[in-house]
Amino acid sequence: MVLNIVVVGVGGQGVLTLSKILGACAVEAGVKALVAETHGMSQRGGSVIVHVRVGNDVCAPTVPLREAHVMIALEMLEGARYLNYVNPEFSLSIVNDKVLRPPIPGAKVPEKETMLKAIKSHSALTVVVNASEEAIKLGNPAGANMFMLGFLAGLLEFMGLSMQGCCTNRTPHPSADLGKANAAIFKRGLMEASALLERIGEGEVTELPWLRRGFFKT
Amino acid sequence: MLGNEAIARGALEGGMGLAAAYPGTPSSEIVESLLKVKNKLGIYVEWSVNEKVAFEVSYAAAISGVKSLVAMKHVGLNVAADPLMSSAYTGVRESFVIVTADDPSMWSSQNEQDNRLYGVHAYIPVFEPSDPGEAKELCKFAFEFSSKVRHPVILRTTTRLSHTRGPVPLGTIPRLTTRGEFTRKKEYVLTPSNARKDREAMLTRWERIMDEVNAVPFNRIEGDGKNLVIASGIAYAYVKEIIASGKVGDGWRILKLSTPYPVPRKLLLEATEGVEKVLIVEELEPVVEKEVKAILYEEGITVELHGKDLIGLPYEMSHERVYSALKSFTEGRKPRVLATSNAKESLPVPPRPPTFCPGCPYRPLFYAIRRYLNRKKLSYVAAGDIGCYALAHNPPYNLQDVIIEMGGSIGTANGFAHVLDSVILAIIGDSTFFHTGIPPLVNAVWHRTPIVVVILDNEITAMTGHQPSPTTRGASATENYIPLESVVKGLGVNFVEAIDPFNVTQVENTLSRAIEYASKQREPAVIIARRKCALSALRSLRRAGIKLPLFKVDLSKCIKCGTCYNAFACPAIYPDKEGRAHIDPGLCVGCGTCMQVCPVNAIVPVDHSDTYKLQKGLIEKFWR
Ligand SMILES: Cc1ncc(C[n+]2csc(CCOP(=O)(O)OP(=O)(O)O)c2C)c(N)n1
Ligand code: SF4
Ligand code: SF4
Repeated sequence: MVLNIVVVGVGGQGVLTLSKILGACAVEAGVKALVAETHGMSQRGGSVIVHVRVGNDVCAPTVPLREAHVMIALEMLEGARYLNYVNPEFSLSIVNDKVLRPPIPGAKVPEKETMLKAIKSHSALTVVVNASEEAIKLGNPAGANMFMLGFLAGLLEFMGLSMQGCCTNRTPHPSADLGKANAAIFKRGLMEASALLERIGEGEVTELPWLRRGFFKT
Repeated sequence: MLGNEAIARGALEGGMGLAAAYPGTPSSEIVESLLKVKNKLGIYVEWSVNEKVAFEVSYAAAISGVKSLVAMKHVGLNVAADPLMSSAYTGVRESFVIVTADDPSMWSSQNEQDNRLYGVHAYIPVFEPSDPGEAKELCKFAFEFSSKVRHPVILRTTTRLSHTRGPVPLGTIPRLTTRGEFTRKKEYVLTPSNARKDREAMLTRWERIMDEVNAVPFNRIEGDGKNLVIASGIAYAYVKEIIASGKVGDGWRILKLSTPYPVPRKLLLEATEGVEKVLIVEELEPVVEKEVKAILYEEGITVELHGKDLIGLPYEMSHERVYSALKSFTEGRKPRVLATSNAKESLPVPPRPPTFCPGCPYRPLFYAIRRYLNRKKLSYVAAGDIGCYALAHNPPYNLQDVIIEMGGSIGTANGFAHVLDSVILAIIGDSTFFHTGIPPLVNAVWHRTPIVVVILDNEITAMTGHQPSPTTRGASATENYIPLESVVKGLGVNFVEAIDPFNVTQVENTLSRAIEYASKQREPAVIIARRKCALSALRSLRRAGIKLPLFKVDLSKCIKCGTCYNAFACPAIYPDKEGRAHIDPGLCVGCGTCMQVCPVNAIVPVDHSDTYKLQKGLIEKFWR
């Protein structure tokens, strides 16, 4: 069993940090994980996609097109850019409610509703989260990635990988205040994931075939 | 562990005593991680001034009996190609591992050359891993192999290996030998008569190497069937996954190769025994394919054989490509998709090319140069170079008309000046200037070539991840600071002025005088634009725990001219629906340069002006 995740966003939003912690904690929980990063040009505020593949059958580092189980979009325009990785049959898209305009003269960004509509039509289930807003409230304006890490940890924990402790140990703390903020933001993400799992459990939203207990045990 | 960290670990487990490199994506983390343990292990590790020097440093250690490694990105090996060729002639006394990090799909490079071909060209065996875990083992093995055959070895990695994290089981690090001994021998002196002898000795070593690769444990035959897939390096990972998925049926034999050059002949013959068809899957050039064809021809074996015709030539491997190739191979038809480049988007969205960071000194610099050239309506050619500043090629600055390789700016400027009547600018970073910018500047001084060279001194090698350069102040006690002025003046340049790129007026005035000087005096003028890379300034500010000033737009004053978000284009400034500017407090780093560009002074500090002045005084030293 392999779980395919793509994490997309804008260079500087912490896509790499999130993916790195996720990969390391999956390995610590006892499964193979490959994390294919984007370095170089794309870190200067460019479009970034990181492939995370979790499962002992993984060999190749990249996620095949239309085979991502989860897309984490730290920014909406980037979410809309990488829709060819998701699949309307089974993909879960978790989208931060945040749009960053590319700083190019006259850049025309589609309306939020248009982007969301596209993302929804390409995914089996789309969840919009206020990761940036929550991060600001909790004390680290650049902490949306920790929210998303919490969200993913919540899902993976449910699927049978023990992630929380490892992630908590690894959340960055450049200063005491930021460390505290990051831990709080991570918790918010975790809670959001449990809320989603509950809604699925109660049949309020679509069930996803792979999002089940024991996914990593088979 | 990152693939590059795995390579570094493998080198240590292989007994490495010295490493040298010049940074370049995707290779940089190899030496970066070795630098972290250098003191603890007592080994010697350095960032060299360019790849040729790094190669020579490492080669000298190897012929003195100290196991060594040199690392570079693929194009770096072009710079080091001269000593590379010779190293195969002389051979080495102890392990010499040359790591080349290739970049299929050109994620951060000017081309996607396949450096396995350097192995073919130079008579150097090439090793290629298939995942981060194997990268560690293979690097360690490459040290043993090189030591055994007394010959240099190329370890070829690619972006998807170097920058993929995966589990890497660790072995032990032996006692590392760091002191050597040099024995005088004719072999090391390549005068024509010695070189002829070396050439023959090299060919004898090569015979042995061709034989030894058959016993490399990372080459192996897997599975069985009438269809043989030969997969080299990372291609193996994709082939294995597609075959295991069952989507292409069964009956597959795989020859997994970790030595694409030379191809292990005996193992190949064993693998082809009884198969009906052969497919070779490798990234980029048909290196293995050509070898296999030659060997099978020599052995008189005729078998249906496919490779690049089904898998395609350019760009990195993908599941889609391998699936389509295997499918076409079994069904005996032409493939539908050959090479797939990076995936296409399904909703039309504006591109998001990388840009200068908020607070980058290059933004006001290029804004000022652009404004000056527009105002004077000058005919100009801006010869550019490789570094963060290459991003100025994009709108709104549109500055840099030619970018081909490191050091190319001053070199091509020399040529433009002799055939064009325009103003010729050369734009080059500090690290790039030391790398390959000095000889072309000497050339311009020598031939009295009227060019204006702008050296962008951000005191670091920024693009590749902030490695030190000779202009980094106070990097460590074992490193000197080399002020650019002294070098440039020493080369005989008479117009040398250092400016602050945050000062837009100063940039324009100095540029104007430099252009006039070059055209009147018929000789080069050099401007040194000095300000720290914003990311390094911010790092030290954060460490010192200093709060950054913030800026805002006084909306009652804003005239919606768009200068700040369209022409200056700080990513922290964005327009609302009416076209009024806003500053995103999450992105603004408080550099304050946008205040200079607003024609109506609508951009102001958020804090009271007295507090701001205090803050500004406090942070200034971190920015300089
Ligand atoms: C031969 C070669 N080696 C290495 C690289 C990788 N590389 C790209 S830009 C750069 C250095 C940039 O440093 P600098 O000139 O100081 O500019 P900055 O990025 O700091 O603006 C390097 C090493 C390359 N492109 N070519
Ligand atoms: S890394 Fe430094 S030099 Fe490069 S764009 Fe950012 S601030 Fe400018
Ligand atoms: S002060 Fe102005 S130019 Fe500097 S980062 Fe903030 S918005 Fe950008």
